[in-house]
Amino acid sequence: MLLTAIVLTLWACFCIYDNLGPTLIYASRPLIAGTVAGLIIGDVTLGMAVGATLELAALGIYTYGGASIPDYTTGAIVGTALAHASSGDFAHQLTIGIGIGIPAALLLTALDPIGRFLPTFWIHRADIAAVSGKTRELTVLHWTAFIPWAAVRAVPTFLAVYYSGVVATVEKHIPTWFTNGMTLVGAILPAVGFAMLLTLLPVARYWYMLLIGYVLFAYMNVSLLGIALFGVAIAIIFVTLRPPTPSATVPGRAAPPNEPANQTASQEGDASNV
Amino acid sequence: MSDTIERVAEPTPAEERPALPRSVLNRSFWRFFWSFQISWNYERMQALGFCWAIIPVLRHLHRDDKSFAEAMQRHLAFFNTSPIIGGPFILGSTIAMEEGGSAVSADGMKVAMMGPLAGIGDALTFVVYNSIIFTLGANWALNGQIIGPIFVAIMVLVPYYLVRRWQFNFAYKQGKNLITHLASGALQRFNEGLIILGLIVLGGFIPSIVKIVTTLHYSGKAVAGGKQPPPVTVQSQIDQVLPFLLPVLLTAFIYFLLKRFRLNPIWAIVILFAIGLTLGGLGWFAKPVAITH
Repeated sequence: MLLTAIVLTLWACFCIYDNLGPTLIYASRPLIAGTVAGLIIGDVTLGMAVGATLELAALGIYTYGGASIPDYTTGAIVGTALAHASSGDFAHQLTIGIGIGIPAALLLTALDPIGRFLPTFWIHRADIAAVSGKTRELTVLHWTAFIPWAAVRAVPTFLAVYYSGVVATVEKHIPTWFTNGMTLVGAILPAVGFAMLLTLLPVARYWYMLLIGYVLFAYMNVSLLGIALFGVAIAIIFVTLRPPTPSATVPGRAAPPNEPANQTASQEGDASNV
Repeated sequence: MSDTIERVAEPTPAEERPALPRSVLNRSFWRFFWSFQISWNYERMQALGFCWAIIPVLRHLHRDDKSFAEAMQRHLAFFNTSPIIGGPFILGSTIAMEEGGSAVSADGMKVAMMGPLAGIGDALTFVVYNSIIFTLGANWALNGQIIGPIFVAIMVLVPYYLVRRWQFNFAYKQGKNLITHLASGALQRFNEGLIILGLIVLGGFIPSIVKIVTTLHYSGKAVAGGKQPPPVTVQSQIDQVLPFLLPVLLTAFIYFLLKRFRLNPIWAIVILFAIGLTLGGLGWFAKPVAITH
């Protein structure tokens, strides 16, 4: 258990590193974080299922300009590990994984600002290093400023996984209504992500584009990949035939980058709809 | 050499130094690639990451230690943009301007472009591209297919690298002409197309991914003869009105809360969590057993 806890903690650190640094495989997205966590504990299918469920819940939930968001990454890792520690069939384990992963993600939102605040001390040291032209010190400061980021994820991950034995005793008392409720929660949470994405797009101007996708799926049974490919074709036809409107602006994050996404974006969206 | 501050702030004049070699440019790009945001903080966000990435270039351009130190301090100013589409662009063009010896235009360009490019970059990477590949991947993964996460990993690994490398090279080559290039209609059309793609895809993804049905039912009206007809499920009635009405209504409700009341997404999650746990716990609503596609 100690070894698993250490490896999963290292994985949690890599996930946030990949997010801030190279973005090689987007390890910070719950689908990837959960699948690899499953690999580490020896149950890929479980990790993949927990990760995929949380991924759909986290769709559209990204850090726009430094706002704190639910930490579904660590939620997926901890959820997978604790689901594995529980007994019962696959569906039951998955419910445990979601039931732990989502609340953990929400609770860890509170730790994220600490990781974002502490490197402020580093930047002041960097100012001093820059004045005296000490590039080596600047390098050290740049890389060590990652420590607070990693720590606020590593500590909860390690503690949760190391003491995952608690789950085995608690789960005997989990009532059926809770299991049913958590299953529904996992199934409807993607609504938040999709709604977030919609706030970033000019819905008032192009609402009829939503209808195309809806009809393709609901009435014509086209698969998700099919809808995406159809969308590419329609988008190309549209921009080829239509002259660009001078007022059209791209939605998303505007100039002050520390605003929550939906606020700035919706203002931009409104402006572009005039 | 004069001792005035103005003189010290200038880099070594262009004619006195060799052109920026490829290796220095590469060092700068890889520094950016491996660690751009790892020192992110509330106060100056990506400033230290940007400064550290451009140091190889500054060291090459400024032989004088004092002007080198000043250049480093300039690049420790507040900076924040999209790391995938935007960051490499600005880094490349900043290097071109630093090489051209115009520190003022380099700083001005950084400030002017980080906001708009952050908006474009986040919209393209998160809203359009990621929402498509991650929904596809997660959907496959939920059906137990390992291709789901593998597909996503590859679709991130290759395009994310290429788009950053290409931007960096392009922006460095274009240098000062960059802003006129960005203002051309081609980029705007491209963005419009991606927005349309995003909306079409969301129109189909919402009813397929958000899953909720009601299990409520009522007994049919007793017909003459007193025989009790089989109970009528409310869900079958809803399906006759509009297929997937409940997922659409639920998403519209959350969209309304986020858009009109500027609700923090974290609260939206908490609200849905409470709704799901209550309605699911009571057994009135459930995740549909049969998945249509």
